[in-house]
Parts: sequence; C-alpha cells; structure tokens
Amino acid sequence: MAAKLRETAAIGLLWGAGIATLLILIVILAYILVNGLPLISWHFLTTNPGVRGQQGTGIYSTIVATVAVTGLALLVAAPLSVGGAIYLNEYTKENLLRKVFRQAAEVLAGIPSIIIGLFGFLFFVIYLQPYTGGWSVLSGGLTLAFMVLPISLRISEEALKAVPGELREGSLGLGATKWQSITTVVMPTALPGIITGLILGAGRAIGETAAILLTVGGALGLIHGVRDPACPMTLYIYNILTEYNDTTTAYGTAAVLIIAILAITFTTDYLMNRYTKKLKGL
Amino acid sequence: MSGEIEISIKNLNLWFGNFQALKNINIEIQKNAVTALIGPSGCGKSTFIKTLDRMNDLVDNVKFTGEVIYKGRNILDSDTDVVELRKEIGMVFQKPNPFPKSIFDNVAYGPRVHGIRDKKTLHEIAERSLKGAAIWDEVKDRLNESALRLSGGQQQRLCIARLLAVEPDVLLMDEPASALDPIATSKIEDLLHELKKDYTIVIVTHNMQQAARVSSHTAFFWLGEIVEYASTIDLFERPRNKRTEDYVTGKFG
Amino acid sequence: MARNRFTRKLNQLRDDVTDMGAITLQSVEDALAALETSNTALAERVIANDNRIDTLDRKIESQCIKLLALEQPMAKDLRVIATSFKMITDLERIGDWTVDISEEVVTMGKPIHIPVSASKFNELVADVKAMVADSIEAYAQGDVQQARSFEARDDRIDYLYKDIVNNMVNALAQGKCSTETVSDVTSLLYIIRYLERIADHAVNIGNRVCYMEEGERAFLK
Repeated sequence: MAAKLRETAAIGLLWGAGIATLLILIVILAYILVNGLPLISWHFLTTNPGVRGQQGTGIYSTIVATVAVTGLALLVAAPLSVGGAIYLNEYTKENLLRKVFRQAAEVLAGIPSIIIGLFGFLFFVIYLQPYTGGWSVLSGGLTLAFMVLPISLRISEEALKAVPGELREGSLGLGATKWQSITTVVMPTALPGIITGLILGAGRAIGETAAILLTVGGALGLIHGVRDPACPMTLYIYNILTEYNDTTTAYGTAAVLIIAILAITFTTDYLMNRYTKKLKGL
Repeated sequence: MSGEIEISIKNLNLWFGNFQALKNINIEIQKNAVTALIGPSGCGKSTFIKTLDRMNDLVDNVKFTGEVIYKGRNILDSDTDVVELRKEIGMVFQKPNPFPKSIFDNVAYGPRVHGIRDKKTLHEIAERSLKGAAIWDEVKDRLNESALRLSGGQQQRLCIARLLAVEPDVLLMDEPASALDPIATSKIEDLLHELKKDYTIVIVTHNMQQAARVSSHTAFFWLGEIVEYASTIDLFERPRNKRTEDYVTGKFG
Repeated sequence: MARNRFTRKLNQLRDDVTDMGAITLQSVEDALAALETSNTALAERVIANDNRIDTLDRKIESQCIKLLALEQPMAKDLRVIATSFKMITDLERIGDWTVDISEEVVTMGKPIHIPVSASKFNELVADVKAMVADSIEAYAQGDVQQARSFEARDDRIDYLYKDIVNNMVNALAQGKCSTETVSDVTSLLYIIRYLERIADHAVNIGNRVCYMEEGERAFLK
C-alpha cells in the first residue's frame, strides 16, 4: 500500500510541476496580450515611432529593424552552421578536432549575451566601422549571428546524425560520391531538423536585446540600408521603458513580438510536419 | 570447382584497430553463381563482403593486406576509384534502405548520379530494373508514391532494382531477407535464382536452409577465418571439417 | 551443446532402428533354426512375428519424416536420418524373406533331405546369419571397417549360392533324387535364393553405414 501511495504522490507532484509550467506560460502570454492587444491597429503597425517618445505613434521602423537584423544574422549563421555541421558529421571522424569544435560551439552558446554584445561593439562597431558604418543593422546582425550559430550548428548536427547510416551506405553503394550522397539523400532527410535549428536560432535573435544594445544604435528612423543604425523591437521596448516609462507602447510592441514568434514557431512546425510526413510516405 | 572465376581473393587480412577481423582469406568467387557465406555472428562474413566493394573504408582505423582480384586488378590498391568500383559491385543491405523519395526516384537515383538526365532513358532503365527485380507489376501504377509506403519485402526488392539500374556485375547481399516474413523471403530467393543468370551474387545469411536453397557454393566463416569452402551440397551433406559439422548440425553458434 | 532435444530424438531413432534390427535378426535366426530342426511351430512364430517388424518399419518411417520436416537436419544428422530411413526398408525386406523361408519349412513339414554337400549349405547359413548380425552391429556402432568387409563376404556367399545351385541342378539332371526329394530340392532352391537376397540387404546396410559415417554414397545392390 505504501508503494502505491508513493506512486500516487509522485504522479501528483509531476503533474503539478507540468501544470505549473503551463500556467506560468499562460499567465505571461495572457498578461502581455491583454495589455498589448488593444493597442495593436493598422496605424500602430504602419507608423514610425515618434522621435521623442510621443504617444499615439506606431512601431513600423522597429519591425523593419527586427526583420533586417534577424534576417542578416540568419543569412550569415545558416550557411556557417549547416556547413559546419555537415563538415563535422560527414567529413570528420570522431576525434579530437571534432570534440574541440563541439566544445567551442557549446562554450559560445554559454557566453552571456551582453559579453557577445561587448565583443560586437568593440569589433564591428569600433574596429570595422569603415565597413559596418559603426552602430548599424550590419553590426547588430553580425553580432547576433554569433548567438544563432552555436544553436543551429548543434541542432543541425543532431539532425544529420539522426539520418540512418544505411541511407548513406545505400547511396555510396550505388556509386554516388560523398557530396552527391550528402546533397541528394542526407540533406533532404535531415532538412526538418536543420530548419528547426535555424528557427530556434532566429527565435533567439528576434528576442535578443543585450547583444544588440551595444551594436545596433537605437535610431528610430526607418532604415535605408544595412549600414544605417536601427532600433529593433526588443531594444525599443527597453528604451521607451527606461527613458519614457511608456508601458502602454511597450506592451503593444511586446504583443506584436510574441505574436510574431508564435506565428513563426507554429508555421514552421506545421510545414516541417507536412514535409516529414511526405518524407515518410504518409 | 569448375566455372569462370569473377573475384579471386588472396591472403586477405583485415584489422579494425588491433582487432583482426579477417585472417588469411583465400577463396574464388564463381561468375554467374550464388556464393553463400555462413557462420555465427561476428565471424567476419559481413566484414568480408564489405571488403569487396570497399565499404569498410567508411569505418575508422581499418587496415588490410592481401589481394582482391577483380577484372584483372587488385581492388584493395589505394588508387582504386571506389566510386567506379561500387558501380560494378553493388550491395544490398540487411535492412531495406530505400531513400525517402518516390519509387521512381529511388530507381533513377543511381543513373542520375552517374549523369543520366533524359526522362525517357530514365524511365526505360527504371522499368527494366524493376522488372529485373520482380517488382514491376506491383509498383508500375504507383511509381510516384513514396518508397517508404511499400512493404518490407517490396522495399528490399526495390533496393535490388535500384542496384540493377546502375548495371553492376556483382551483387553483394548482407542478409537481405533477415528482416522479412517467409513469403517475402521466398520471393527474394526466387529472385536470386533469376538474377544469377546475369550477375555474380555473394550472399551473407544466418539462415543455413536459405544458404542451402539459393547457393551453389558455401563458405563457412569462423572467428575471421574460412574454415571450409565447398559446393553447397558437400558442405551441408558431408562437411569435411569438424567445426563446420558442429555448426551446420546446430551443435554451436 | 545446443539442440539437446533434437540430439535426444536422433539417439532415440538410432536405438529404435537397432531394436528393429535385433528383432529382424531374431527372425533370421529362428527361421534358420526352424529349417534345421524342422520346427514348424517355430516357423509359424516367425511368420506371426513379421507384423512386429512391419509396425516398427512404419513407426520409424514417420519418425524420420518428422525429423526431416521439422528439424531441417544437416551433415551427419541428415545422413543418420537418411540412412535409417532407407535401412528400415532393408530390414523389412529381410523380415519378409524370413517369412518366406518359414513358409517353406511349414510346407515341407518334415526334416529335409539335402542332396548336396551339407558343409557348404551350413557355411552359407552361418555366413548369412553373421552378416545380418554384423550389419546391424555396424550401424549401431558406426563401424565403417566392419561395414566395408561386407562386399568381400558377399562374394563368398554368391560363390556358395551358385555352387550349391549348380550341384542341386546336376543332382536333379543325373536323376540322383528320388521322387519325394524333388520337392525338397525345389524348396531348398527357393530357400538359398532367399538367403542370398538377405545377404544382399546386409551389404546394402553396410554401404549405408559407410555413407552415414563418411558421406560417400556407394552403389547399392
């Protein structure tokens, strides 16, 4: 009886923990959405912010800045991380080099984002100013690429590792070269995992504040090129809260940000599920 | 033993690191015949056939000495073009491993990687190969369906068709029916009888009855050595070696 | 040692075949004793006993079929079963010849008059008895050396058979036989023919034992 009681208690506790996690998520989402949704309107989404924190303006330029910075980060990180993962998984054997690479990626992922930001500031903003334009979308995007890289590298590698060895052998056994096997069999099979890695990386980039605080500049005007300074949504939330204590606009922006992240997550999930099913012939 | 020799193996030794997996293998594989390799798990028979198309190269720390003479050259030479070699010596694996693509794309895979792009040619090759692997009638109306929707036995025959599409001379089969039910297994075995007219086949099997049914010659591997190599009927009816006798009568292994 | 159950069944099969051999041998000995002593009661018993041999034949046959179908035997195991499967037919035929001999004994119903050298006839009888006994022993022991000796021993039996037949035919032709002994001679001609056939089956058994032990099939008689 005691064992059964303990079993019941354990299940209860675990169930409670699960529910608590879910509740916390719901509370945060609900709080932000309830406070932010009323503010969202076509006007809010398509008007640039007032330069001195005026009420009744929009967040258009910050959305553009977020898309630009994140897109740039992905553009840089995707080929590097996927290429790196392919190299590590397909071309190196399990040896010291591979361990060093993987450890390096792990360390990179563990570095606090403000320190990455500091590096981005010193390297891209100051040292490479003639090329990046100092505080700019380019500096911010490149800095964010450092944060995306380890996540998507690691997840891409796992995705490649999950491709059954028999498929590689099957392809090689038909006289395909290694590169042909990778591009025509391994990559398509690993694609859902690789895309997931990139999406997680993008999620990280969209939500990142500390790393861009020091690199992107914070200018509220609409950007015209990658060398213009900009203010992505996260930074905008931080700025209007710290400088103008404008919680209303902060909530509105936060709601847009959250909806965007949720939309990206669910859409890719759906697309990847469909792709995986097609891959499995269902 | 009579008949033309397709592959001649001389003093083959193979190591994984410090472990010697093959010890002084000397056998001749008959052309247009089925040669079966039997023996307990880990005896080296799979390692042996993977040597014949250099698949062991994929394994870390592999070393080999000796000669595998095929078409007048030693395929173990370091300057052998393994990609070319694998077009001539193809492998069917234990678990059916169709690519997650359509049935047609699976069969067309080999010709495509070897540069054939013409749709009509690819279709001709696909039909011929699928017929050769005795699966055409079952799939001709669903060539664009995913290969993964086929049953295990169909998948395995598709994998054989995929191999036939690159027109090899030798088919290596690593327990091709071990994951299949008896009916699918007998289809594969019937297929082997057809295929041996045009191909040289080497099959690894755990199933002694299968070896007895499909092959003309059988080699018994034990601890990395070939203990006995003889015509299949001799090996199963009157083995000369005590160890073979004990293995085929089920006294060990 | 794997396949314990199968090994046990295989040993059982060999024991059963050996038992059938012992019963057949007993029939051979009894039939010949009945002949020697004109013991019609004993001869009747041999005739009655034949269905025991037939029953064993059928029983062992199904044992063999079962083992072949269910166990997929290989190598020596296969050869033991194949040998047993064929050998029981030899034993059953030997049993039939002993019935035929016994029937002749019953028909004659009295001591027979042998119109030729009794020593050769006695030698033939002893040789055949010994060969049947030895062939069964060779099977039970897997004794190849013993089994190989049968061809030569059979040559001697063939010689004795032809010699006795010639002598009897000559005796008949020269009119040395009285009217009542003519029927004895006819019976005897049959009996030695049966004995010669029994020896041939013993040789078959010997060849089968060689195959069982060494895998080489010899031509059978």
